[in-house]
Amino acid sequence: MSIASEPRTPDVPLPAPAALATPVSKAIAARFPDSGASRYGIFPEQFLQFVTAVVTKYAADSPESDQLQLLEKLRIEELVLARACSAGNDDAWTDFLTRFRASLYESAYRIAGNDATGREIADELYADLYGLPNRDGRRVSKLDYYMGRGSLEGWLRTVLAQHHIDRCRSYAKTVSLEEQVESGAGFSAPPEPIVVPPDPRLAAALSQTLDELTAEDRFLLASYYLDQRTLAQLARALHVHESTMSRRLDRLTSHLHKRVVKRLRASGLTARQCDELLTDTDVRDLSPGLSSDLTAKLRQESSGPAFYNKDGSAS
Amino acid sequence: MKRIPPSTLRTHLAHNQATGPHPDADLLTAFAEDALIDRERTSVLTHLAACPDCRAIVHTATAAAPEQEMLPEPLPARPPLRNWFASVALVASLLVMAASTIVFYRTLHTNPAPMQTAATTAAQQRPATPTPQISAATNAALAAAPPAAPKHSRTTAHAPAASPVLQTEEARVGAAAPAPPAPVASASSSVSLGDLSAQRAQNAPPAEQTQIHAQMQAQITAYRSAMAESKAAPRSSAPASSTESVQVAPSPAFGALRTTHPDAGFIPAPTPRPRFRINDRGRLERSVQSSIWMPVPIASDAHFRVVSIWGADVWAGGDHLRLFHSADNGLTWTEVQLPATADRTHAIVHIRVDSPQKITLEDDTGATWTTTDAGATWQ
Repeated sequence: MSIASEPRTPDVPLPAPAALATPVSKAIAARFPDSGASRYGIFPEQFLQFVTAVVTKYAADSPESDQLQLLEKLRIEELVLARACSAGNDDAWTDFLTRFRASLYESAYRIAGNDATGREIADELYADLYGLPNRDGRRVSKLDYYMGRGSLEGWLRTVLAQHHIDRCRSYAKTVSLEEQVESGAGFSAPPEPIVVPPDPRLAAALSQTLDELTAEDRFLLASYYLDQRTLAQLARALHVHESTMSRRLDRLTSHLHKRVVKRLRASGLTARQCDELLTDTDVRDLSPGLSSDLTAKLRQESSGPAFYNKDGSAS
Repeated sequence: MKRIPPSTLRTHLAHNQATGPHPDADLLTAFAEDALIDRERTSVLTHLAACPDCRAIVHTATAAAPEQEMLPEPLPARPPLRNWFASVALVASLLVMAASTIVFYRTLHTNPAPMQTAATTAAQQRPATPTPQISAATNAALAAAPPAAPKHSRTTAHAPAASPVLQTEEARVGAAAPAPPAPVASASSSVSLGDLSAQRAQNAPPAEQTQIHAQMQAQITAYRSAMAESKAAPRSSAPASSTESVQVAPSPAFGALRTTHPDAGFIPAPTPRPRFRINDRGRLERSVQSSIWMPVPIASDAHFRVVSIWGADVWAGGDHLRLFHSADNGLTWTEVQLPATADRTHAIVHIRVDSPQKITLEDDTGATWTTTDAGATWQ
């Protein structure tokens, strides 16, 4: 791979360094010696410029303490590496390939679930990282969009996951007409979804209770009930132990039930009516396919005669 | 526990729609790595709770991360009294352990019996060394032990305590009979076997001193004669076990040295006898341990058919009438030449060892060769 070693300015807009307060600028300058920027030929002015751009992007209106906290958590060394790579520095690309190439492909294999697709999406991302020429003929690297908020390896994983999900959705929209015709699905009308209107009293109580929850609790409920994520996945995303997550989910659903019942009772319902509203087995929750299957099965089982005469004829 | 029906909860959760722009990959990465500041974390979580696309990205990327160590399960909060009790119990157990360690080491320095036990175990596990290693200084001390008796002390099995070095030597000797505990600690840590013998002789009552000295001289003489015999004997006819040696009656002064050899303190443990086999490629292999077979580094072009063992003598033969002999359990090998009249196109298929001197070979045609001088000449 031949990469132009001529440095170039990234396409992302960079705010002026003067936008930050002096202590923040000093803190940025203090991180220059340990950033490894000099190894890739990045001058202190350039360093100050792109780090300031990051702080300004995420905490321009935040108090100074937040800016300093953000600066402290920035992955400066990896940010410098990304900027040097996007600028076409050969040493930076060597370091990048040494440190991240293997993990990039390994993450792609894990995300895709098979080697072929994983290699494909990793290659596509690798091409994006190297950069594609824009209208002006200048190469634009995806590494320009890395801001150092998380690790570069984690950022690559996130970009890979995003790319894979987009790819799956685009492929899901492409349906083979021949396959549809062969299976007869091309001539069948799509099933009409049965929309069961929720009880307005329950809907109101539940909406109000959900609104009262914290964002993390709502994220937890949505991930568990909507996305069908496992407790282990939730625990990993929120950096807690799996059993902690289990207890927390139990407490959360119990709290939710109590609050909803309280609201329903406040609206004039009796305890029995509340229980009926919150019954777990609701026939309306059955999917239309399952209910029709059940109906057909019941009909089939009851089609034969119930009793037979001694000569074998049905009575 | 009563809960909201999942289907109902799903319906209402799905009604939430995310507003505002999606967080970029940097923010999602920082969220997954717990690197966001509090304000950002809340806003990202608010968006994630209502955005299935971003949730899918976060969970997919998190699941693809390398396995990390499981977070420790936080212990439930304990009452303050139990915490206090646990701390006191921990400190008390540490104190007991420290005190036990101090007592153990003090006992170790004042009473050599534990060390002797340890040394005995070490001696039992130590590999064999064929050559006796008694030092010249020990011999000199034994020989120079004065017959005159000192004024006090007594000689019994309760001999004065020996130094660690001596204890080790004694342990090599009396692995089956550990020495009784000695009441007095040794003054010198570099005392040798002869020094101890001299001390014991000096500490013995006058009536026994002459007898002890005579026994010591007898042991030295027996040891030297045994050494001379072992050097004079041919190697091939040496007994397989080096423990067969001069028998010396135990001495009261050497109560701890219950041995059958004057230099029995240096008699090694029995050497594990190696085993030999020929692998499917016709190469000879040797094993000292149970399951590890190492190739025997002799002629690489030789293809073996048969191996025969007599004590430490190993005979291996194969194609082209090639015959190899080792007199030291396969450590060194010499190729034995058969008579020039033998047809080299055949292979040795049988080796019968009647004695270390008499060996009979048979090739694949039935022809036999016999030697009665350990392979020097063949008929």
